Amino acid sequence: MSDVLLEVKNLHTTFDTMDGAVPAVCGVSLEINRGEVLALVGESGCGKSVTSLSIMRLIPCPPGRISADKISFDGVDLLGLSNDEMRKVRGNTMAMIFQEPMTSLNPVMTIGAQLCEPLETHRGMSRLEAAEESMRMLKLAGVSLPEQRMHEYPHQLSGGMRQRVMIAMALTCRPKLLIADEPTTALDVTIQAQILELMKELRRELGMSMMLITHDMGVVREMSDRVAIMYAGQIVEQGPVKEIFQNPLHPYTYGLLGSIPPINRKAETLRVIRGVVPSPMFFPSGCRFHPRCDYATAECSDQMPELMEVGGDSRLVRCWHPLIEKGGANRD
Amino acid sequence: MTNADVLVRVENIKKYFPISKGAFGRVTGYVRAVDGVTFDIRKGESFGLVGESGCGKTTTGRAILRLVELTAGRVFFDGQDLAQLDDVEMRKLRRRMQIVFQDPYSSLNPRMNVGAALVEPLTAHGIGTPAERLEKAKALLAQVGLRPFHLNRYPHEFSGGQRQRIVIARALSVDPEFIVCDEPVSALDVSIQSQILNLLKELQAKFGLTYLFVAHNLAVVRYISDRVGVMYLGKMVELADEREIYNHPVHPYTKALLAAVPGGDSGFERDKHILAGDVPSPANPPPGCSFHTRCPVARPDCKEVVPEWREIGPRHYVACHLAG
Repeated sequence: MSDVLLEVKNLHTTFDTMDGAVPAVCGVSLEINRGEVLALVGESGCGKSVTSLSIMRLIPCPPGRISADKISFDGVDLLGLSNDEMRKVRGNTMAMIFQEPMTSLNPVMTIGAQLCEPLETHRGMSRLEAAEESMRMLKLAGVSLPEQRMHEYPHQLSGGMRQRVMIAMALTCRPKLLIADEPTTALDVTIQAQILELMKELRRELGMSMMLITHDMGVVREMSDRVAIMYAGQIVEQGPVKEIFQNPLHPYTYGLLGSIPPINRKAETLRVIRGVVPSPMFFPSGCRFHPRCDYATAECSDQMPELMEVGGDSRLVRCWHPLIEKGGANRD
Repeated sequence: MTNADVLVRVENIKKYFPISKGAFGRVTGYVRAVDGVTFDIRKGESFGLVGESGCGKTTTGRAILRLVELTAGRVFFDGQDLAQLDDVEMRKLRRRMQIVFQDPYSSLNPRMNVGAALVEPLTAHGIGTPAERLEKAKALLAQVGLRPFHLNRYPHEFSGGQRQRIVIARALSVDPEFIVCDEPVSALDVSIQSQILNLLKELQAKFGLTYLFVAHNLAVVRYISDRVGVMYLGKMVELADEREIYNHPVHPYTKALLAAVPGGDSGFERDKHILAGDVPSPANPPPGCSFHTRCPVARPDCKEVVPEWREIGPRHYVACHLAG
């Protein structure tokens, strides 16, 4: 058994719309090791959610078109699976939780019924076994009064409680990989802290890998081992979390980190990335970040840089002028 | 305190929303959205109001502008009791106070171009001639970093950040002294968020504006505010200068909020301050200190006695039995 649980090579996802083809994900390659948490970070529309949905094969085709050189999960080539076989992988060895728990739970089914369903379909449990296992999972996810909750409907629960139920549901089949798409964005900070603690605990206990999709750098720093930063459908920088926070190499990462107000001191002014994120219909030529980049040269508008290894330590960056050449980015 | 430098004084305000049931709308209870809040906002300062959803921070902001009618309490703007003013007088005063909402998509009329949106408040208040109004609109666009040709565009042609710039320009059109910013950046991406935050700071310095900045993001509030009030279940639990409240918080809820900020660099350890459970319903707040159900250091008397709002240090107020 190799260390790599998920390997994605050169993933492209395009949507055909009335206005033409929209390239949402353009050549994303990533790996997640067993037990590792990889964060996928970026602003709205950068393609981070579409990347995860494409891996799960949850993109409706048409209008979507997915192509990749390779998507292998736990030694299985996901691209070669039939829809039925993919269904067995999904919710079984690979599970997903979403941002808005209310829209991902069925409002007319009790919590118990929704939890038991995957256990009966995927693991062939009897109703009674499934109910017992569900209750155990609810307890594990920190849901108070699990016996009572089994008979309740989603609207009777608070936002934090619903997200716990979602997590319990994702965990019922002991997935090897949990894809969490903005799992705490809809929650208040104190509830967010509870859910983050819970996810850390479960990761320790169950040893699962996680792909964490978020725009919150604080959540990234707290939860993940490695981070991939996406901009305009591509990964622009990738590496261990600590190093990227200490010494970002891509000007976009540098700008992004500087535009977040700090909590431990009062900043005088925030760094700003000028301009706006380009629309996928009109990606700029060359490096897609060059119109907003302070370090851009003629080369940047002509040629798209590859994701290259820079400075070792498994750090990758897609930039003609990574900040390392200028003595690191910590100059302010 | 009848200090000359106080622009807004909020005195023990309460806003209860009735809960009605049945076909005849029988009132069966009240949601205590704001339940006795008192504070001052000084001229030229940014007052930050933080708290989680449902704590009453937005209602407090709207009550100050009289966009919701109060159940009890008084609001003074520049010494005038707002409740005593008739509609004509209130309308005149509205020129001096403006609001910027969270969602720039719903606060602009989709069928009005930017020029019309900027000129409308001037027309409504009878300021200037049509030609002067148009000039003013152009100047406003420049102030917020947009270009004159944007005047003829419609809201759908702009991104979220640009729309928020338009909303800010519109709020500035009548030369207000006081602006309530209600979660102005929480719908925006981080790189755009910092542009808008910097713009708000710049405008404040340029025009001597006073802000009430309502937000749930503690880091954003720290960046913009001079003083910060923390709300929980309709009550203010702590109020102090920005430095003081972030470096030396006293109320267990403030500490928990800071410890909950992900990333772990607020200086407060999560395990010591993590809160169990959910926020209780404001329709049925707990007796005594309303925070006692989640408080990690609650004592028996916290369940019975409502803690007093008192000053525990210079300009540092807190409502907690255990405080200094």
